[in-house]
Amino acid sequence: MERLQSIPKAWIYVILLVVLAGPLLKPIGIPIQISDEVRTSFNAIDSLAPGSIVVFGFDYAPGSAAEMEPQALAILEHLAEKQVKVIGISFQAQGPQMAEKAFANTAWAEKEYGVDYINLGYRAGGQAAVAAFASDIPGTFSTDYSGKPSTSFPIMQGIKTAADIDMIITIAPGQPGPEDYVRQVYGTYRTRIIAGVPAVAITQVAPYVQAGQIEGILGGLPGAAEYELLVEKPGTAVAAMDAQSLAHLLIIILIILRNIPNFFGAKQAHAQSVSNSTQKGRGGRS
Amino acid sequence: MSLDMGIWVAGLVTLAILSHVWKENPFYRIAEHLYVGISAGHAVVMAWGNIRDTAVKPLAEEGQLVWIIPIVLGVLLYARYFKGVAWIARFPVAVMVGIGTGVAVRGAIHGDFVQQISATISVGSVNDILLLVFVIASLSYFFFSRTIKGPVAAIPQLGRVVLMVAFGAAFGTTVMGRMALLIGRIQFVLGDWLGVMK
Repeated sequence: MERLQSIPKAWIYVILLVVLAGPLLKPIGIPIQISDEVRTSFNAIDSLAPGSIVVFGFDYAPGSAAEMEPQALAILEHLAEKQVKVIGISFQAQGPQMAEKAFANTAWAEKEYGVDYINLGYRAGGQAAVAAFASDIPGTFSTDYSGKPSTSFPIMQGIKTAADIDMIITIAPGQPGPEDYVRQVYGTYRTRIIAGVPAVAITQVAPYVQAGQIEGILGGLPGAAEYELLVEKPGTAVAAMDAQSLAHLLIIILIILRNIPNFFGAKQAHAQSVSNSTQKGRGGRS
Repeated sequence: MSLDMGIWVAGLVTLAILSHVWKENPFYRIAEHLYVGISAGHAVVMAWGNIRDTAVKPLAEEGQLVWIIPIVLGVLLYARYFKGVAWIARFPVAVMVGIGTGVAVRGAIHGDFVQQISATISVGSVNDILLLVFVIASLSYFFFSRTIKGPVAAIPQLGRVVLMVAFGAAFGTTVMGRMALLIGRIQFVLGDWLGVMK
C-alpha cells in the first residue's frame, strides 16, 4: 500500500513518455468516433456556397498551436474545397504568423492572395476590438498583414460590417474568443459562428452551442482528428489520438492506484476510531 | 533528421524546457528567459504596428485629426512614471475602463443573459428538462440569504453534486488539453526534428 503512495515522479514521467511516444512511432489505430458537435460544424461549413465570405479568426499562439493548429488546418482544407473566400484576422498578437503558416501549409498556398484569401493581421483591444470589427471591418483592419490598404484587395470589395460575412470561424484558446464573437457579433448581426476551442474550454463554450448562438464546436485535439477524418485528410491530430487515448488510460490507472491506499486507509482509520470509541464507552460504564 | 537550423533550435529548446521535470537546471533557465524575452519583444513590435496602422498613418497620411485624441490619451498613460503628474494617467485609464465596461455589458446582457436564459427555459426534450433542473439546483446552492431547511434542502444538495460533476468534466478536459500539448512537442521532436516518425 505504502509503495503505491510513493511512486517516484520520475517514474511517472518515464512511463508517460513511453506511453505517448510508443503509439506515435507505431500507431495502433484505436477507432475515432465522430461527435455530433464536429459533424454539425462540418455540415455548416459544407453548406456554404462557392464564393461565400468567411472570416477566419486565427486567435491562437504557438503555445497552444499543438491543440489549435490541427483544427485550423483541417477546416482550411475544407474551406478550400468549398471554393469560399477567406478573410484571416487575429485578436491575438501572434495570430498573424499562425495564419501565414496555416495558409502556406494547406491548399490555400495554391490560391491567389487578395482575391481568394487575405491575412489582415492583428488588432489589439480584446472585446472592444471585436465590437469595432463587427461594425466597421475595413476601418478596424485598415491594412493587411504586410501593411497594404485592405480596401485595395478585390476580396475586400463590398465588405463593410459583419452583416456582409456569411460565417465566422474562430480558433481561440482564450480571450478574445468565441464568447466575444457571440456578444459583439452574433447578438447584433446574427452571423453564423463556428468555434475551435481547446479541450479545457469545451465546458465554457458548450452553453453557447446549446443556445444556438454558436453553430458548432471543435474541442481540442479529438475535435481536430474528427474533422480531419470528415474531410478525408488524416493529419497530425489523427496520428496523435492513439497516444492521447493511452495517456488517458494511464492517468485513470494512476488515479485508481493512488487512491486505493487512501480508500483502505480511510476504512482502517474509521474501523480504528469506532473500536476506540466503543472501548471508551465501555470504560465509562464500568 | 532535419538539417534546418530553426528546427534544431526549436528541438533543443523543447528538450531544455522539458528538462525541468527532472530538476531545475541552467538549460531550462536559458530557454525560459529566451521565451519571455522573445514574447515581450514580439508583443512590443505588434503593439507598435497597431498604433502605426490604426492611428499614426491615418493622422499623418490622410489628415484624420480625430486620431490625435487616442494618441494623446495613450501618451498620458505614461504620466504615472512621473511623480508630480502621475494623477493625469487616471484620465486615459478612466476612458479605457468606461469603454471596456460599456462594450462588455452591452454584449453580455443579450449574449450571456437574455439568450442563455431563453435557451435554458425552452424545454423540448428530456435533456432540456434535466438541464433546467440542474441549472436551478446549481443556482440554489449559491443562495446564501437564508438557510434552506426541510425537504427543499435536497435541491442545493443536488446542485452541489451537479457542480462536482462539472468540475470533474473540467478537470478531465484540462488533462486532455495538457496531454495534447505534450503530444504536439513529442510529434515535433520525433517527426520534424529527428525524422523517426512517419
